[in-house]
Amino acid sequence: MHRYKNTYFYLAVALLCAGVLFCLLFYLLNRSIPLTAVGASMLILGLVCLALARSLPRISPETGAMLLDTSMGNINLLIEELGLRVKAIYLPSSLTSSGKPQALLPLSSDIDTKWLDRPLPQRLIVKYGPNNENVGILVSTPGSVSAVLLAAEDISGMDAIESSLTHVLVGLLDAVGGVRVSQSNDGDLTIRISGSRLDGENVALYEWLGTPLASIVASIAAEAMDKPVRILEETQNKKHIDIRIGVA
Amino acid sequence: MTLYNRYIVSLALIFSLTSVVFALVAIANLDLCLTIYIIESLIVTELFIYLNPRAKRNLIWVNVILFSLFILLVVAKIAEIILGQGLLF
Repeated sequence: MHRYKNTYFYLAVALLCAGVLFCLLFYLLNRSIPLTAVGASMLILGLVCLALARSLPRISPETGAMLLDTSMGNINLLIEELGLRVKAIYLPSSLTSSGKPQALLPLSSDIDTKWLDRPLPQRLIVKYGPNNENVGILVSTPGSVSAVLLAAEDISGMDAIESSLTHVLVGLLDAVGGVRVSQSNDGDLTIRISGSRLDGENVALYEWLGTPLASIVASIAAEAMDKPVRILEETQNKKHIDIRIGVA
Repeated sequence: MTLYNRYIVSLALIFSLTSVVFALVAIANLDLCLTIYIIESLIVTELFIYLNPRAKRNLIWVNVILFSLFILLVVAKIAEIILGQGLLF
């Protein structure tokens, strides 16, 4: 019970007590129906807050941010050590043996995606083509875990991308305010994210792998299109973040 | 504002506006007020379809309580029509 004692719990207790008091006071003593109704609405709100108090994550957002920073920091060190300077290709789960979307960081910039036609082995260093330079590192990103959250849902097809992204980013992670997806004539997707609450230090890794938000978007887009995708551009202003995704 | 806060604020705003309307029309029927609040609550909860599955699971119990109360009010009203005297309020 102790872990549920958060802001919503105290709000629920206050609303339930005030609601009971209002109902008793104004119904029994004053016979005022509108004020008794206000008390009843407080009771309903109190019940809702009590339900939400039991729904908050068991670990604090700070703990989650700490774990994310640690894992991203380790990948950053690995990429710097290997001298990788090519943007990541986000693979759908159908092209990985782990069963979840992952990011492939190729060693050479002239990657030929025609070799990406069968699941890559579940290893850190993978060979994806017949030539010696067709080597890269395969890593899990925040997007890999997010796409797994949608495992039970059908996210195939373009129409499902916006609702899937909204479901993950707004509903499950509560990380942004809203998501809008549009498609250009050349097939690239532009995802406009408003009200982002994910902010952190700008590590060098983000240039090659994309920010955690872009990583989530790319993984879900790859899963929905069932094709390898790349983050083409990520622009941010005060109101929203625009992420452009293209088929690799 | 997080999704949970937006949900609570939406519910509180709708309840407040409804209470103002009740006061303006000087409503004298408590079961009607309760019925309207319950319906509003159920609608707003359904509109927030992107809530966390854990929150949705917990809110189902709130919805069950509210729906049971709604059924109780309807049964009491039917009994009142049949028997000719009010059972509640």
